[in-house]
Amino acid sequence: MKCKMCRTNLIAFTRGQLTGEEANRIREHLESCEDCRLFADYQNSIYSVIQTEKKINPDPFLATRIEGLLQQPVIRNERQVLRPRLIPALAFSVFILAGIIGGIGLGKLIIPDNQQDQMARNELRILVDDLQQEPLESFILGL
Amino acid sequence: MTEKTLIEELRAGNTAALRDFVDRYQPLILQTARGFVHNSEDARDITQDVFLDVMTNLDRFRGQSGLSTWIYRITVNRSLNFIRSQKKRIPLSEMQTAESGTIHHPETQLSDPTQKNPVELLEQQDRSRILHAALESLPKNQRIAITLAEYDDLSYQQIAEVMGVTVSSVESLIFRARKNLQKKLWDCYKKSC
Repeated sequence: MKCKMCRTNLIAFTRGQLTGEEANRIREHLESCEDCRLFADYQNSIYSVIQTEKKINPDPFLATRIEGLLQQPVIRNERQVLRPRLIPALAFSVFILAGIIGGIGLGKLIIPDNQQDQMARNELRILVDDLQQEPLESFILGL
Repeated sequence: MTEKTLIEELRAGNTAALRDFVDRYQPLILQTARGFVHNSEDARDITQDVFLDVMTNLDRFRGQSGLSTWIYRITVNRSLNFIRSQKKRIPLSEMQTAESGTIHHPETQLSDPTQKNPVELLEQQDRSRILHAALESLPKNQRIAITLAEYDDLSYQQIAEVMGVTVSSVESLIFRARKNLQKKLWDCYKKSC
């Protein structure tokens, strides 16, 4: 067995989750390979932390505390906590949207459609044909 | 008292049933939460929140899964939410470490009467740090699966029910989680981190 293969299965091996043949192969490899054996010891020492952390003493007063908390008038759930935060944000968004739509509507009321077209056409004419703005004849005569 | 009777009694507001319920499920919730947050005090806070969640949402429990499966799910979600909220804050311990250059482990610094040897205490702190860092580096689903397997000794079938995935997915998640953990630990071993 190669060292890499041994190391991959070490956790399952130390937890006793490997079948007989596989476990035997790892055991034999660990007997012959010092590097893997040292790593197995290291890994076991790290993994032993889990067993230590599992030992937590339950709180004997938890039931009483929960009883007290449940008797409080309102145990607010997260949805209720979120609601007050969402309302101002939504109201502000609606306000901004109404402002934009109102602005567009107002603009259309003040400048009628045909007048808008005329203005656009005039602006385009200036850009395309600047001789109307500054006729060549008047330029020559001016000289 | 059977699970069904217990739920009915809890819904009826029976305080004796509440005490029985807390006694029965507190170790389970504490152990699971501890597997995620690695701190007894935080695990206790999460346990209290889980009980409050269960009690306020008991009417929504339809009994399609076991009560313990439902409680495991709530505990996992609560723990992950807690971790997420903690990441957003800068812990005081980190600020102290940055200032003084010393490592601060609130959990392992609590006095343990069985461990008085400072060298042993330091080694224990070091091992905890390495294990927690390795576990925290795992992808979310791998972390959930391996925590439920190692800290709660749940079977693959139970983990599958809690996570809402198939048993073969759990097998794959745990295999990959162990492989990743082994890789992290090997790197640590080689670099003496």
